[in-house]
Amino acid sequence: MSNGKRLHPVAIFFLFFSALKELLVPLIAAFVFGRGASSWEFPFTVYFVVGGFLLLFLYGYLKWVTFIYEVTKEELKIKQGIFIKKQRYIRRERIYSIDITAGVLQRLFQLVAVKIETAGGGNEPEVLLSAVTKQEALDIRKQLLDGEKEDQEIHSETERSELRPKKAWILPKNHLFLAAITSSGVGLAFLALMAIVTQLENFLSEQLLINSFGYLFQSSIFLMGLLVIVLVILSWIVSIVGTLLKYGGFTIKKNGDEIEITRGILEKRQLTLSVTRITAIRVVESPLRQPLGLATVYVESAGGGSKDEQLSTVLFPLIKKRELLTHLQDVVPDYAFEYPIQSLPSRSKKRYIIRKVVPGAIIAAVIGYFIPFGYVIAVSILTFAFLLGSLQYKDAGFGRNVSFLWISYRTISKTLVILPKQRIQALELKQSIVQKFRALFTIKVSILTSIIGKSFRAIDVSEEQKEEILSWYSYEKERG
Amino acid sequence: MRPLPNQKISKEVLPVWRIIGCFETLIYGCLPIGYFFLLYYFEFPTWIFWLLIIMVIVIGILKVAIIPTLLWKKWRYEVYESEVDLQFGILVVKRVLIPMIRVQHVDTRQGPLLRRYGLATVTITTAATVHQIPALSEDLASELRDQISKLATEADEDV
Repeated sequence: MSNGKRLHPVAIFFLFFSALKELLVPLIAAFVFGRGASSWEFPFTVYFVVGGFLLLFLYGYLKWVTFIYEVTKEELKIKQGIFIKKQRYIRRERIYSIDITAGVLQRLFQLVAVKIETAGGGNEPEVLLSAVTKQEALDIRKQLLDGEKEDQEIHSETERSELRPKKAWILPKNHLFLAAITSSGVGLAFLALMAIVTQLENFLSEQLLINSFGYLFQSSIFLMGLLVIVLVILSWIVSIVGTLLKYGGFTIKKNGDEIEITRGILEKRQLTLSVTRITAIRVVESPLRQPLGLATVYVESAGGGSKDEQLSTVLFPLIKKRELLTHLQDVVPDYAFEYPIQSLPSRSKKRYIIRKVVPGAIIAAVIGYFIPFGYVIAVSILTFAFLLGSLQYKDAGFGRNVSFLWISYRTISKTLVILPKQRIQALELKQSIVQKFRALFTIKVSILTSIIGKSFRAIDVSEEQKEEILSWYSYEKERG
Repeated sequence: MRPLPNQKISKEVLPVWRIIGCFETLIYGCLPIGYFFLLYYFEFPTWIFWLLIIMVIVIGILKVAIIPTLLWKKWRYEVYESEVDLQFGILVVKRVLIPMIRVQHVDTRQGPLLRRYGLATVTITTAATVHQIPALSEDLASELRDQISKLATEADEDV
């Protein structure tokens, strides 16, 4: 490793901060619980804090000094470790996605972080280069992802212009706004705000609370209602701002087999994904968006994917459902075709409804019994359960052509998942005793995603449908 | 209609599963024993003690006498040229198709109990899932392992 490189020196600060962040909770705990001890007096505390910071800084510095990477045509070499030396070579073919992000910290110094993912992987990215210049990041990506292509490009000038990335899709401004106001993050933001409000009592004096909230509780339901409405509006605003920051400037560029997704205002992410790594495409219509004919499209892929999106990658944050095929045609043409759905046999309907109504009835019974006027809530829970069950039945189904299977289902959001036969790792058919009475089956298909497998189900399909899928999937054609 | 797979797993597995069933029952057996000691110190109703004992006996009968036989009867597998077909399960019957091109690796595994009876388990791993054919005779298991792994590499070359 003669010409290995180090990260930008600013990385020392990043490493320092991330170590500090990890130590923050134990440190605070030590301060809070150790306060009584006599040794925590003024001069000692200062020495301790300053010494601690220096040690952490030294740690960051040593980590930076010992972290050396080198990108060659064939592989990425990483050498790291302060006490235990680690060397890792990752072959270019093994790299599934390269994610360039610029967080707030990085942007201060005009730097970016490069995440490199390989198959399998696990929760953490395989390699994280936390501070490199933008140019360096682009060079690394070029070397590792299309080093080969570049060689070919030189041969002919015309080919080169064809291979140059073309803008395939940009999230329109009005769509961004629509995405923001229909975001389902509202619920989460609401819960977070509720949590903060209920925690307030720990920080405010009791007297103040009794004066304000005690009055609130006694005086009127109207004021309570007002508080809830204010919270809902606040959480909506939080979620709108969140969505705008997350998906602002969403652009997809296509370069041969590579899809490059750029997004984010505060934290800029740039993700490069190979089309050949895609294992499934999911089209999700949330209840807020479905009436407007809008949908979100996700990509499941081997490698890549972020935790906050159930390990998938957002392909289109928001599109009109009826324009789905046009957009897919631009970005992933293989997946662009009609998806006719076979619905499930009508005898499945009962099971879909029972599955929702029974737990609903239990909750309703408890509420109806313990809460005065609870029967109002109980009846609405039961109605909701019944409606949800019928809707889930109505939206469930599947379809197939020679090389694709698509499954439609609803949890709360309606989802259509499109799976290439090639990417299905195993097919499972299940029949429980109860299903046996009605001659129904469950189909389960498993695919590879970032961490482990993910599976999708079509529940309560008929015997003929089961046989159809079985022979469709079987690679043993003479028997099928 | 697609035919069911028609290979059965070794009948030798029955004593193994019965022994495992015995151990599991012993663990459940701790419940009434624990309750018995509680009775010593507190005034809990005694009928719960008898209920627990009956429960343990029922679990024992199920785990030792009934479930192993049923499981064994229901287990079917077949290894074709381009896929592995499994069917198993008592209350929930499962049918699994694993294409050879998706097979990442095949292992045979053998714990002390299985070894005692000359058996081994074949484990088939894909990128997303893990499947097992429990309890084949050692020879058959290693033969099957080699066969699947060979078919898997051949299938890979085709694609």
